[in-house]
Amino acid sequence: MKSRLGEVALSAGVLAVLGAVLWTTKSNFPKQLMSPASASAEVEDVEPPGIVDDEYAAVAQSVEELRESPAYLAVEQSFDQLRAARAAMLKQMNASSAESAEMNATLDAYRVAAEEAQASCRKLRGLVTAEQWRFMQRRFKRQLWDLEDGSDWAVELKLPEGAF
Amino acid sequence: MRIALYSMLALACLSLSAGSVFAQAPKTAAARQEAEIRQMLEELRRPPAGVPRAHIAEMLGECGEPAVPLLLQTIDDSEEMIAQYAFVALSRMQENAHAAIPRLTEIARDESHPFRRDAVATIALIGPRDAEVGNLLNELLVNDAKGDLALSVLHSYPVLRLQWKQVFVSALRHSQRSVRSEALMLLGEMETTAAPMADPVMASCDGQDYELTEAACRALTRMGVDAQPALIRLSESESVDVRHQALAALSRSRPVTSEAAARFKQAAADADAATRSWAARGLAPVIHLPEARQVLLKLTSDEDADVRWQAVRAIRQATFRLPEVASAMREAMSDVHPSVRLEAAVAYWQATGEVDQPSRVLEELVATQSNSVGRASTAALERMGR
Repeated sequence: MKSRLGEVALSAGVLAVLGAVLWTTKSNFPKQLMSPASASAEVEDVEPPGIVDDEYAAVAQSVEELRESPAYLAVEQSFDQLRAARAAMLKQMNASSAESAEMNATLDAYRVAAEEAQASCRKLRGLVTAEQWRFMQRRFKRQLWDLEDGSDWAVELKLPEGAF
Repeated sequence: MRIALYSMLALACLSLSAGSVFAQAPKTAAARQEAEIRQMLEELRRPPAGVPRAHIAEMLGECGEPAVPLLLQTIDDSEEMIAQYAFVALSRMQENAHAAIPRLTEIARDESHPFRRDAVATIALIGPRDAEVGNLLNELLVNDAKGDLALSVLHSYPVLRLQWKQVFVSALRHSQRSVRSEALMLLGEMETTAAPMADPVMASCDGQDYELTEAACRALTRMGVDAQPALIRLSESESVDVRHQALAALSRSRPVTSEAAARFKQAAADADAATRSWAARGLAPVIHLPEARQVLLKLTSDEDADVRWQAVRAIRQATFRLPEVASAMREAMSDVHPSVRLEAAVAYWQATGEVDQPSRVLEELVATQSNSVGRASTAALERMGR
């Protein structure tokens, strides 16, 4: 079990890098956004600092339009794959021994999915303005928090708060 | 004879006495004024009913130079609020409080002094046209390693007529990130007035800090057309992040000058896909120019889906019909990426008015895409009356 957790920790490390990509601008966010506990509807109502009302609405609108872009779709798709790979890995953890070939395969798939999600986020960041990226970050972070729900694996591994 | 002698003695006494009266007159006036100032300072501590302290501070400020020594004593001796009103009084005096500068400088340099920021603000108000004061403030900013005093100096820029540029140049190079960030934000707020600072702002972008790069590009955009050359140079940076953000800022800067259009045209041939995508976005507002249109049409067959999507989108967003783009849009309707097919179908419909072919593409997208592309295709079909 210890070794299995070690493997998951490695994958979690890759996810943490993804988190870091999403968190590049975290210093500009209000403190309450930095805690997973605040992943609620209230987050939507918090206006990012530095953006005045009209500008805020314009950025929100432009982000909606960007949801049809290939890069945005690629991020959403990569998150779906990450979710599926994680579910498969957790299922395998309960079903087989730590060193089994099946277990290793699911861990590899999970690691690859995490790396792809990270790469797709990086690409999207280069294609949008910094204001648009801040909007997207909040949305993606919530999606990644959703990924944690239903399991206490993040707590077990003591992932640093804010990694997502 | 005796009468004459008495008369002379009386005159001499009179003149002596008058001399003494005249000699004592200024001393009495100064003493009276000092007494009045002391009285006001006392009232500042215990204001009479209905008289606000701010009003008393203003009155003290109007006393001018004679009140400076007593106000400086008040700063050193009094409770916090009273001391702050003493700063207000000195600020009110402006150039007349010049004698206070040495003591205020000492306070500003004293890292443990509770009023060092008030001292800085007061110095700025005392000598807004004084080059020496400007140099002093700049020195305080440069030598403040922690950054809190530097921020106070920076915020005094509206009154610094002579040295505001020097203060901003120093702030943009400051070791504290918060000072650099604040300088960029203030320069952005100054809009076109800050255009002479475009080059130092550009020099502050090293590509290491995403947020600061954004703030710099944002400030340059707000500086207007005069800052476009700086944005163009930044868009040629070796750092990909800087390049993207500069191109993003340039694409928002108006008007699109011929130099900016030329830079976008050059960026359209960049090896980096995101740079080409920004080129497409930057050329969108000048799509009426045949040369820009040609570049955009070429980008519709780019190897990267996001570049193709952005180029087709630029054509779709044109507010007038562009019949010559029809063949490129027809081709793009069979693109491998559904997002590109969606944009191309709408662009083709707008360019030609033809409905059948684009609606077939959109119907296929509605049937196969359950994401935002599917939803947008449904909306597009409704607009087309299908």
